Order: sequence, then C-alpha cells, then structure tokens
Amino acid sequence: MQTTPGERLVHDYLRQLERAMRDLPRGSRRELRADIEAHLDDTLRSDPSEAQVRDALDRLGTPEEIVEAERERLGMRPAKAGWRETATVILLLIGGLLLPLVGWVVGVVLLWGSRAWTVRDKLIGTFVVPGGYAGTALALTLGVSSSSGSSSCPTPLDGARAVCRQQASGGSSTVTTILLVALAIALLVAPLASGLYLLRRARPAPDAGHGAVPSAI
Amino acid sequence: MEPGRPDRDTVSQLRRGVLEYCVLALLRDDERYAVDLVHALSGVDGMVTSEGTLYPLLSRLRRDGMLESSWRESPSGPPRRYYRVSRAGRSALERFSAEWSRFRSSVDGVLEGRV
Repeated sequence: MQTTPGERLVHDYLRQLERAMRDLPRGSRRELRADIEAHLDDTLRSDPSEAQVRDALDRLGTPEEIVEAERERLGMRPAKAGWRETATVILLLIGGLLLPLVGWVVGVVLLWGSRAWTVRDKLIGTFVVPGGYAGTALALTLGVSSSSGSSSCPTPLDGARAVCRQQASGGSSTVTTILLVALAIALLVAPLASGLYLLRRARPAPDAGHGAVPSAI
Repeated sequence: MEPGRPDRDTVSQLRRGVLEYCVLALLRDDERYAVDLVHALSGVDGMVTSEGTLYPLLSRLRRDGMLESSWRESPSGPPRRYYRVSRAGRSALERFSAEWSRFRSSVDGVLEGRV
C-alpha cells in the first residue's frame, strides 16, 4: 500500500504523541490517543490534500502541548529539572571522581528514586556510562596500560612512547590505535551526552507559557 | 522576566478557568460530537489556541461527572463520541453563570474607574 505524504504526516504526528505520552498512565495514554485519532479521522475524510492535513495538525497543536494539558488534568507535576534532578545528574557524572564509587552510587539511587524520569531514561542514565567519568577514567587507564604493555618498544620513555609504538608495530596497530582513540572519545562524550539527555528529559517540552508561572492565585 | 509575559499568563489562566464552563454552555441545549464541539470552541475568538488540548479537558469533565458521552455510528466514516451535559454539569453551569456576570461587572467597574 502506498502512503501519501498526508498519511505520513499523521503517522509521524501520532508517533510523536506516543513519545510525549510515555510517562502518562496507560489508561490516559490509550484514551488520549483514541481521541486524537478519532479527531483526525473525522476531520480528514476522503483523501485529504497534504495542505488539509497540515492545517488540521496545526490546529490540533503540538503533541507536547496536548500531553502537557493531560498532565495538568491528572495533577501530575510538570517534571522540571530542579536542584534535585541537577544534583542527581552531577553525581552521576562526577560523583565517582569526588568520592570513588560511593558518589556515583548515590547518584544512581537518586536517579531511580526520582519521578522526573521514565524507566528508559533511568536505564540510560545508569548504563551510559557505569561510574560516570570515574568509569571513563578507569576504562581509559586500563586501556592505556594494557596497550602500552603490549608495546614492543623496549624503552618506554614518556614522550617517545606513542611514536615508538606506532613505528614498531606497523599497519594493523594503527587501526587498533584509531579504534582505541575512537573508543576513548566515545567514553569521554557518552557520560556528558547522557547527562544532558537526562536534564532535557526532566524538563517539560519547551513552551512559551512556561518558565515564569506566577505563584499568586 | 520578559515584558509582556505576565499579561499572557494571566489571560491564559483566566481562559483556562472559564473554558470548561464554555464547554458546558455549548452543550446546554444539544449534544454534540467531539470534533463539532472542538471546532465550535476554537471558532470563538481567543478561546482556544490548540484544539488538541481540549481532549484532556473533555475527559476530565467526563470523569468529574459534568459530561456524559456515548459512541455512535456516523453516517459517513468511523463512529463518533457524542457529549452531553449531565445534571451535575447543568447546575455547575448555572452557578458559574450567575457568579460570572457578577464578577464581570465588578471587574469592568474597577477597570473603568467607576469604583
């Protein structure tokens, strides 16, 4: 079956809706999706043009807005990266450096105890990278010591070591070095990326209405 | 805080507060199906910015017993959910209408310096 651009737009919209609803209870997820789908089915009958589809979706508003309204209805706190979430992410990243192992474990406990994240977020936060930057440091230290151990250079003088190793072992080792460097970069970037991801996920979707909610009333 | 922000927040909070009574009022005389109701509301100037956010409101009103709904076959296309106002919804609407006209004339009075 051929999908028209309009159908694809609706499909993408509904997928985005599903993603935005991830932390809602299953009952309201199903109901909201059914309501929105019925709305679209009803609005877009008999082979609508792409412009009509775009127009209908614009009028519906973004999935994030709709889900925010549902969250409000359920009385769910708009998940926001407050000091607690920020502290959790910091501990996950560098807690293990400040207080070996313990710092990171405290971060993990805070992460799993928080309601600002879904299980998937928590899994990512825990396993990318275990130990945070302490884990990265450990992996890098192990990696460097094992690769310099296998080096055929007889006198590993500090500055000359890398050069010496490269010259000694030739082509296949260059590939290994490149892979190791890539791995090292990945290990350096991954904790930061997962930390930023957690901070972003703990916040509601960007929306002009948020930020300064008056406390009065 | 950006200038202009507080105004918009105030207006959107006001709107949020009265929106559910507008839903009840639109259903006062007739039952309507969801899309019809949503389009009627979004046709009112300044009332609704995104139609989709009305669905959570409709579920809340239904769960609070202000609205009743039932699915019905439509002459063309998939079945539709029809909404009508319940007895509780009707009396909530009457109370609000009385309160609202008092509130409106008080605010107008203050704003126009008649107090």
